[in-house]
Amino acid sequence: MIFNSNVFLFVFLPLVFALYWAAGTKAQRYILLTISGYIFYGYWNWRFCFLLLFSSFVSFFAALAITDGTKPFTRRGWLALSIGTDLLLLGFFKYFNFFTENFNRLGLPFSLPLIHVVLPIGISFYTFHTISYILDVAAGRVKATRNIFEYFGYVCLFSQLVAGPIVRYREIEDDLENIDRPLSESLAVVGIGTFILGLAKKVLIADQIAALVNPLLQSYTTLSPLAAWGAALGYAYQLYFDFSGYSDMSIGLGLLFGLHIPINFNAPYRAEGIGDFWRRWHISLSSWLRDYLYIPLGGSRGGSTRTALNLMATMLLGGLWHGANWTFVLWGAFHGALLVTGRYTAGLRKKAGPYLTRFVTFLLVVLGWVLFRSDNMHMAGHWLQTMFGAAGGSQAIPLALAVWIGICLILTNVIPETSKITFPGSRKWLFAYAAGFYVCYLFMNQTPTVFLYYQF
Amino acid sequence: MKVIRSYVFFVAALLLGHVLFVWLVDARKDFATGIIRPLVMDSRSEKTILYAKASADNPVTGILLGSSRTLTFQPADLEKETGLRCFNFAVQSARAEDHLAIYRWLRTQNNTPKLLVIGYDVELLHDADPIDARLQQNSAFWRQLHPEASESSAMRRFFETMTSEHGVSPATLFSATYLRDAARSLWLLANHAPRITDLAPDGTVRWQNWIAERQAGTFDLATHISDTKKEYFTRYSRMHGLSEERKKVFEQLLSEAKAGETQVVICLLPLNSELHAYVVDKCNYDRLLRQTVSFLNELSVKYGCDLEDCTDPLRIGLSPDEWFDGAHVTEPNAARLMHYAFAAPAASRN
Repeated sequence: MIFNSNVFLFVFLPLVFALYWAAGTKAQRYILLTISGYIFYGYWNWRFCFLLLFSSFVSFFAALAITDGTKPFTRRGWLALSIGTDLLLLGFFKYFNFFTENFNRLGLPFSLPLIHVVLPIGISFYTFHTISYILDVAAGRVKATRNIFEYFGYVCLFSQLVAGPIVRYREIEDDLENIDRPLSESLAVVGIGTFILGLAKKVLIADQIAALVNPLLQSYTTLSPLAAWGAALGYAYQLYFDFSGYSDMSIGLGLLFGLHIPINFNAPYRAEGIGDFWRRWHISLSSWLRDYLYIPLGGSRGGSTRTALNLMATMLLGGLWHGANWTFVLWGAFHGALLVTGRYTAGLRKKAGPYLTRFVTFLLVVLGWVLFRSDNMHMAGHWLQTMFGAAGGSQAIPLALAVWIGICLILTNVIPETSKITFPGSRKWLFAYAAGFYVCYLFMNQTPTVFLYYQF
Repeated sequence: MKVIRSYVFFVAALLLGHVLFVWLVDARKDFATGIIRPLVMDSRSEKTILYAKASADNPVTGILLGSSRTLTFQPADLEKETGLRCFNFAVQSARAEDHLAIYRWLRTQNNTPKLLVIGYDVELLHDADPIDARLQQNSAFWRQLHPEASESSAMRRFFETMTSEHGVSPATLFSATYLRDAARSLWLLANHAPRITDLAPDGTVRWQNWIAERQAGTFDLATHISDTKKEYFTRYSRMHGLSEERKKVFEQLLSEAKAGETQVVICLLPLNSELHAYVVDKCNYDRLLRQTVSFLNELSVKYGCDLEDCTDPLRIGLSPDEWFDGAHVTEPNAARLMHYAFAAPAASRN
């Protein structure tokens, strides 16, 4: 089920919302969150509910075993079992064929068989939820819950189950512990406003740009240099409005259920440096990678070479997390290299001033998106060559795309992020939200699309 | 939860207001509301009005039937060939049941035609296409086929359209383009502007965009033919043979025409050579055409009607440039076709 679908907006959400607030006790609400999460997830393919259930069971009981364990060896064993299970699931479903294909290319006398594996939607996200929980429990940062439905409700919370944000248990622990609180009107208003703004980002902007960019990229070999830049810039904005739109909808939905899901974007295209960009883009993932990968690897504590290696390793894995394709690995490596370089160019950035730094950062990010969007290395290479005039055809940039790029340039540099907007709750404003929803709904039905991050 | 109640109330009010608006305007003629002239042409209902006007002072005795491919046939050209006063009663996506319904309706107007010229396409007896919703919504015609049918209430028609397999899906109803069409329909009404596709008083079509493009010299026939290839590939791929049900209906038409002393001329219509070659190559068009000719030969003997095989555009003297697309001829080619059917010496047909 997707947020921008009739079944979600007019059946699932109203029903779950009504039942949730009609339920009086914590237990009832935990159970309702769990059941609704599984229905939401199973609507796509019910068989994969068992995978989600298995991963949740393992991490729940492992967390309890770690908490109750007295011997460090036993505690470490449970930690390894839980994380190993998650990584095995992720590795098998997401990367098995990728590694097999590449292994077979080595030309060894034997080859490994390929298996038809369907990638379970959201597996990258919920495995990161459970890994963060188990690591936090092991580190003593969070107390393991003994209520299985509280934990299941957290893992399969439908608003963030399939495409994030990657919410850590400790970030909504307080809300979950006090789940029997009544819904405050102010929270409901912010929830409605945030959700509709997210929907607007998706259907009024991202989908409109997608309709212009996708046909261009289907014939990427014929693009003129200007059209290649147009496609890259268009995709940069499409991705931002699509994913931040999804994140806003997720946060808005969370608020409607009394849960504060942390923000995922903070004006990323205003970043002054790649490090700054990663503090603003997909914050829940970048902070996850920082806290659970980069810092445990040693972070910046071991000298410049070790720091550079840690950054490269973190970004390579971050790239690979997005998908089993060399383009993602290269994208991760590109960002890793930029982060390493960025450590030595702080002075240069200071001299250049904020606007030039912002501009250069944005250009670098856009170049990265070319790798990210490309279906394969050939496409990435050709697209980049065309952008720099070394290849390309005569296909011009559509005027509508140029206009959209101009609009988005203004929007991303001037309009505040959703989290910084105040949503008034008067009747006049409620009518405006309803009108906003109505307009979005008309466009949503025009060209039904899924969110880009569902593929990860 | 006052906030939620208010918000839900506003959303519900806007969605209901939307439904009411698009239903009242009915720009695409989905609900047969009939209050405002639809944005899209509904030849069935509009031609009944035009026919009434055309025959008010002087009876119309020659009728052209057919699908959209016959819409450009000028009654004046037929008048030249036959000396009868004519009207073009071709309707979009016509199937056998449309022709029978129209003929019967014409007879209820106390004006039995002397001549029926049927522009015949192979898909007239399509075995997979459902009955056109516009025929079902047209109570005047529908009752000619189902006398027991009662007039549906507007509400019932709405729900029938929304729940029918070939009706309007909620996603279409609540889409920006659906609303835009309703607004355009109102705008055209307010400005007395012509629609993109409109009808002349004699029942012929005016494809305004295509006519303007042809006049401006910007008309790209190759692209239009290419577009029709996709459409006709789908159409003939879905057609596996001649519908037995529709064969009976068409035979019934000829039987009633004979009883009503109406002379019937069937013109088996051509496709543009390029489209013809394409559907012969990609679909089973050749077989369908052979079945059609065989069926019509049988009927022409049985009911004494004339059958003119005009399927080869070159043989009957059509210009390769006088097409709107792969299936629809322009007026000059329509005139050539009628001349071939009615006036060309028999020797020139071999």
